[in-house]
Amino acid sequence: MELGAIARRLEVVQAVAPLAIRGEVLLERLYRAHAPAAVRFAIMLTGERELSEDLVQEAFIRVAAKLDTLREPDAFGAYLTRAVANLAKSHFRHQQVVARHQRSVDLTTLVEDPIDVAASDSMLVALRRLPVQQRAALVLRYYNDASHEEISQVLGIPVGTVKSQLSRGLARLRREYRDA
Amino acid sequence: MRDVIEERLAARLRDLGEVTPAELSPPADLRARVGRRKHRTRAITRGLVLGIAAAIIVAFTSVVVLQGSTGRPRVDVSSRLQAPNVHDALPAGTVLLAARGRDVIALDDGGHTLATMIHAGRGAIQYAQVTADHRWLWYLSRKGTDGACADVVRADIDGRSSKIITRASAFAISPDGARLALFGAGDLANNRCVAKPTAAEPARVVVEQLDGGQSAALAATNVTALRWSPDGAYLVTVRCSGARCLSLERMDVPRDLRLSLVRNHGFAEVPAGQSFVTFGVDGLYVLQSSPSGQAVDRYDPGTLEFAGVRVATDRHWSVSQVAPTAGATFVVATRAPGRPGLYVVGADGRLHLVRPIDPGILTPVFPLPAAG
Repeated sequence: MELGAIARRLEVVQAVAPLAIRGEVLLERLYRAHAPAAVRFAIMLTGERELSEDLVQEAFIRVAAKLDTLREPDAFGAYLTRAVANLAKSHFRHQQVVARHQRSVDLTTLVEDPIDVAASDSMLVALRRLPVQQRAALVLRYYNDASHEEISQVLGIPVGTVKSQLSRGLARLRREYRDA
Repeated sequence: MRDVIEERLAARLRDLGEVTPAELSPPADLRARVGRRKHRTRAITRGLVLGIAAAIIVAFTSVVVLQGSTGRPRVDVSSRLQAPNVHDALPAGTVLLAARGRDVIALDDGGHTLATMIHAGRGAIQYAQVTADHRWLWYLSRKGTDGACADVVRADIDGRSSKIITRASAFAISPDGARLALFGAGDLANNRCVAKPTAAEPARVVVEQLDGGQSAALAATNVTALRWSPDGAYLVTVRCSGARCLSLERMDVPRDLRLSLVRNHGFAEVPAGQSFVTFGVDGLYVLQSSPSGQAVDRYDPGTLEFAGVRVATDRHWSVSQVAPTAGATFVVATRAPGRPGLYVVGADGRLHLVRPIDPGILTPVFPLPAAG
């Protein structure tokens, strides 16, 4: 299935402004069309609205800067989702490095105890303890109802990896949720 | 067929999706940021092509270029004050610069990211400052393991080009962008910083006139903060010994650059750091600590006499930075147990959370002067 078709099935894709409309109007329309869904996706990965908006802004800029060279411009939403997932992964990796060098900052509070999401929801807390790629795969699967192939295309990983990530993620989720 | 856990996960995600925003406005500088990103990508591509071409030429001519491959920073005195053409990269209403990791980010008074001013390819940016005319952005870029010395970099405000001006342990650019104050050991005005001061090369504060090349120096030890007064007439420095800082000093910088130390004010106890003293619209703000809590004290910038308490917290709070802007005073604080947040000081003296924030050094941005 083509990326464009996948994106239409995912919530993250809505009407795309005609590419003939250049400049600010196009960017604004693209942003209004895709940013809310991307922020929802980012919040599910990070649990934090401010951080999610920052990540989506950065991801949008990266994808929009390549708009002229995208293989399938209609799939802007899918490209944006992938960029958000990659940036979230980089963000948490960076946080781990920072935490290693700054004893005063507790990594667990940075990663696992987001303040915007009800900390009492053990399912979401358990979800946030998973590696970012597993989190992204689970969100796409259980929020966007994406198939294995669609997740593979959006995240840019092989189908086999998607299956293993989903399987491992669910197994850990079951374990942590039951322990909680 | 989904099991209970899968159904519950889907339900939780649906709930979370419903409380997140249905509509988002694009940031004001979206187009400019996308443009900068495109420009950067093109510049990298051009750089790669030129690099390959240069490598081929070098291979053919067998010329070994020693200068430039020694790893020393590039210094270009002649073009230090050439202004960029565009200086509108800071959106209106910007109040703070956050230098964190490899980025310098502009934040508005709601803590929202307005623009990424600088993204460094490598190294860590530790401090950033914008000149009063919003043309130049200066920052300290630390690379490698040479702990005491870092690159002092000047970039045009669009972030399109940057230049290493020299190396030092700390710096401050005067508000008019004409004079650069440096701290460190070595010949700082000529791009040579040494990690450990010696008797032959003691630590000094150096002030350099950027348009004329003149410089002057004054011996100083253990300086951890260096700030220009808003009128550029003097510098305020803080000296530390070990983990505590014990004196606040004023160094006059007249036009002829005859530096003189005019005041030495002892104060109680301040944790060593780089950002706990800064100028606000109504005085000099100094962060102080005691076993019972922390206080942001206000000092008269002329006499360095205590002028009042701006913020006081109990021992459950840890305030790490103060950033007074034209509109409000911001602090970075952590309430135990918790993570750092950006707080604004309310009229009642209480701290109100603006947003959680990554550790980084915040610097207020000068309001742009009125046109004409």
